[in-house]
Amino acid sequence: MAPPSAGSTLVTLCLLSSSALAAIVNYDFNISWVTAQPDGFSRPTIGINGEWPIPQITANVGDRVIINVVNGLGNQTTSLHFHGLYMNGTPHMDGPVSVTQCAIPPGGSFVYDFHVSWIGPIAVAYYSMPLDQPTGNLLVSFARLGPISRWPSWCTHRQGSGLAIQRSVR
Amino acid sequence: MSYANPTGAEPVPKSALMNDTQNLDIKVEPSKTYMFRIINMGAFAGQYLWFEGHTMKIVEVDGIYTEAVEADMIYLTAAQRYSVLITTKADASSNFAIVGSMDQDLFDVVPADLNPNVTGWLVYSGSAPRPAPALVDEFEPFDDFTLVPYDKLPLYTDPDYSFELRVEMNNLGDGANYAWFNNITYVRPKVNTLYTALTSGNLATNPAIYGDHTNSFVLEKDQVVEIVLDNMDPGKHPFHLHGHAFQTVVRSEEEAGDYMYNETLPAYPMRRDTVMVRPNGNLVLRFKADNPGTFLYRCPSLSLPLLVLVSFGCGMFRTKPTSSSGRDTPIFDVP
Repeated sequence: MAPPSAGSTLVTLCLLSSSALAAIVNYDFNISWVTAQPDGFSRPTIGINGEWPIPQITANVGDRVIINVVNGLGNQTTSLHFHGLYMNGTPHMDGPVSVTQCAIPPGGSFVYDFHVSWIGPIAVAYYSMPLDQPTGNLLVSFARLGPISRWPSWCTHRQGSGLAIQRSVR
Repeated sequence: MSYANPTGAEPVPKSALMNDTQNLDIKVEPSKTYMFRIINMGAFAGQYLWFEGHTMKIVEVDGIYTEAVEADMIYLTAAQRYSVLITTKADASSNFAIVGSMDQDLFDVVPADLNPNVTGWLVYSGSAPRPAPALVDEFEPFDDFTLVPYDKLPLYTDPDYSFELRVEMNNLGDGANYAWFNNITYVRPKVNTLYTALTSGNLATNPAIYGDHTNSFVLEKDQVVEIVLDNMDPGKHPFHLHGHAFQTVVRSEEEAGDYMYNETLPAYPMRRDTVMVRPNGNLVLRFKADNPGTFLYRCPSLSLPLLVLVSFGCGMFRTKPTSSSGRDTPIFDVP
């Protein structure tokens, strides 16, 4: 994607890419219930590695991301969908249960292995189902994919990356 | 669904957040231009967003750079993304409110104490007050349909495969509310669509093998596909396509009814992967099936219709054994 031309008010600094080689970025995610109070009221929510907000995934365009997911929820199945990544060549990593994979059962694990071919932010959506019930339960949380190496040349600061707008359901 | 919610309406959010919190401070310096990357990661509510005293310059939607356009207010359905440039003022003595406001149009019963707004601040001066946001009489968000992609990908003309989807919401005998495409409501197959495609040999191109209630459509490599979406529901609904961005070639006003094939189409249509259809209106999307796999087309909120696009690469999917695990790994031909 070619960058737009710079306006006169923009400083035409280009963020440099620190490496010409694509990296492999590894994460271990244990998905489990945590308690969060984003608006001052406690509620259970699905977290990663005991945290909510969930940890940030940082990768450059072209990197390979490998996430070893373990389902620690106990009472729900789960899978992850990376909303906005097209999964070219790896559609089996797209995540929707019954479309590209079976749900990860409680105690089970699944390795997501894909290349980042798109700029962020990318929402990580959980497809979770209570066991033995036909209804689905989708809780959306957020993982930023950044810094992004191929920024347009007219871009200066990366301040304000990922102003996520989100609301909680109690 | 319960006795207190007999129609199975989606739960109304209790609050809005900005970066997982409320009353967010974003420190800025004067006379600089910042890029804000924004995503609505709510599961249901759309949000209006504006920065008091500042104009946004939209430069990207859903990962697709656009020709820059100014906007005072934007609207993000669940799962949409925007990048905007904001130039800060030379005067660093005041702070300015950033406001996100949930779209209540799809809320069933709105509690009297619901605060649909979340406020943050562009903080030029830590010691200056954070002003309360001003009241807004009307929401007038920018219409993303008018955006032109920066790469100016021309309109896909003469689609190879066009199909219509009629969206409805209705109750079944269990009393619960379901969503429907063409009188079919999605039911999960026992075997994933992808595994069915990989293990059915020549039958994989027959949509019947995926089950009627998965609403599967089989696409050939590099076909230009057109989806005509007629929204029979009085609600506005976002729709998201996995694995692809689509050209948004028509979006009608509210109450326009079915698409009548009478529109002049834009030469360089707006392209993104999540877009809203208006109440009782219509939407026409075009994209190229250049990403082999099985992909959902769905509403990125709770329990709304799904269909599956089974898209093939060069012929059939192939499998090859991997040396480490000994199990077959699917290979998806990508051009």
